[in-house]
Amino acid sequence: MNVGLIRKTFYETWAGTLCFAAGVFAFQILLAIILPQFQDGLGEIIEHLKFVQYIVAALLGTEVSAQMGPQAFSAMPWVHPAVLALTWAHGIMFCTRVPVSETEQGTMDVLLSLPVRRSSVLMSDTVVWIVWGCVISGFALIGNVCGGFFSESDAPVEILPRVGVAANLLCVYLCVGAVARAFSSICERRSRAIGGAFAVVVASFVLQTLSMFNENLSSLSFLSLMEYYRPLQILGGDGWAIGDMVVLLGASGVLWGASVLVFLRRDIRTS
Amino acid sequence: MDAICVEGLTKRYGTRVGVSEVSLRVEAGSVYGFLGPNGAGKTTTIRVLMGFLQPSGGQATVLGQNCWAESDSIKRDVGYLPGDLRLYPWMTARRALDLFGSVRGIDLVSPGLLFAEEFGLDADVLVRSMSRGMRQKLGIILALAHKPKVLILDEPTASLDPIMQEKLHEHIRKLSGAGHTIFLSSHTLSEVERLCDRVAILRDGRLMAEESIDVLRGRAARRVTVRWRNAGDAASGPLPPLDIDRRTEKELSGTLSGTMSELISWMGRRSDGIEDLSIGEPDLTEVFHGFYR
Repeated sequence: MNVGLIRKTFYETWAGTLCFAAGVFAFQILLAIILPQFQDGLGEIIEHLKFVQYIVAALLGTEVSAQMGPQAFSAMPWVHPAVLALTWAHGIMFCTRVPVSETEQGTMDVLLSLPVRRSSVLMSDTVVWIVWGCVISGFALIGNVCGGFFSESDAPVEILPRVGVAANLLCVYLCVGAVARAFSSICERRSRAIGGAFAVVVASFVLQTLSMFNENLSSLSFLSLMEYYRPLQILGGDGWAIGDMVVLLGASGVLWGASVLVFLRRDIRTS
Repeated sequence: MDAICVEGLTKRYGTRVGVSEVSLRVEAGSVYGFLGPNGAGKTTTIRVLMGFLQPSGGQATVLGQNCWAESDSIKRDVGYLPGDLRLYPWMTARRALDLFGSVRGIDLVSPGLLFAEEFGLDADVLVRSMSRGMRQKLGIILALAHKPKVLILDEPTASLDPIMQEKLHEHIRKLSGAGHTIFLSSHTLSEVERLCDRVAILRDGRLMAEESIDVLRGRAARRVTVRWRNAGDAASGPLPPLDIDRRTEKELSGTLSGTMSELISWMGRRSDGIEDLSIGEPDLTEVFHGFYR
């Protein structure tokens, strides 16, 4: 880890990260205010349309009953595609900067002409990545709590379970980033790394949705990221889903370690 | 002591060979020229020295340390200017010096700003607004600011104006005089001829020659022109040891084919009728081109 590299990464990414965090905050606050207003209408739609019920269940990480309660509605801002897309997009964009984007742009030559180990380059980048992950999850939490206070929902605004969901979201963010980092280490072009990471995330979501329809596929649902994202359970008082978070963190650690090993051994060619 | 030592270096990219069995030694305190046509393997060799590429065979050391395994510690004492320099567009020279100094754990701002002033570079202009020449100046400043023991420059004067080129040459001479080692790849033969003590010439990934500039100069052809007082004299008597390429009634010119002493003894025999004799400087261009072809 190198303080100079951390400063460089902060400087490069703070503006973009604040935009993403502001987006997550805005969506959270809006969804937390608006969704409870449509509780009855949406409940009926979900009850009649099985397909929508499956998608909502895939997003919420657990089966939903036809009669959705206030807790399910308070969990929905956490699984709204806009919030997830912003969070994942940040993780993918951030983690495909180093090494693939720097190598492609040729700035890696300048970076590695400094007396730093390659592992130190990745470590420094990782520190900033985790900090930004906390910032984005934190903005999501603050947005959700603020929205909860202004909403017409009957459910009380409990902070601690929401912190648990934010922590779960952070674990998902780190796992998506680690997937992107792994692609970043093996690809020669950033577009390919982004495409690969995006494909894995989408495939993971599709697998989770299809496993709701198909018994055979349900045995594979453990491969899906969304299987370990449990906002409804956490908000429902079933605890912080520590086991799921450990799985996500473990997968992130393995992928991150693999990406470091690949980066330590790979050639940095001219673009 | 050798500042740079390359032994049997081979680098393959899949089936393509970047460099093959290249061996060279760069003495500490010397200026070493690295020449060759495009695709000869110059940049590949430099990237191995910088620890960007892992050798497929052989090894390379800088200041006695392995370029791949100890790449990070080598770079404390190495300044590097890439051939195709790309800098962060959001940087200014001042910020770059501040950040790179922070990475190196030393103050680069003060010495760097002195260089910037000398090279006429505005330290507060963003890289994205800089011309290619300005970016090259910044690259040179970043390579020089920490006073490296070894300076590796990949085509450093490309995109610099003649005045800046001369300034850089001055710095290279000064650094060499102070015991720093400079490893320089270039396409500009006159630059190599003026600056370097020794050169290596690569072609198709193989080392064609590795000589001191003086030895190469000794091999270089000299252009000789002889003019007689009277028309017709040029055609009579023994001819000078030249590969004659131009002949008039009073004048012969060509490249020296024998030794200088042969020419002088021929002069002694024919001096009575000769009006003028001119002998040009050794031309290394032809020597280099001979290796390139």
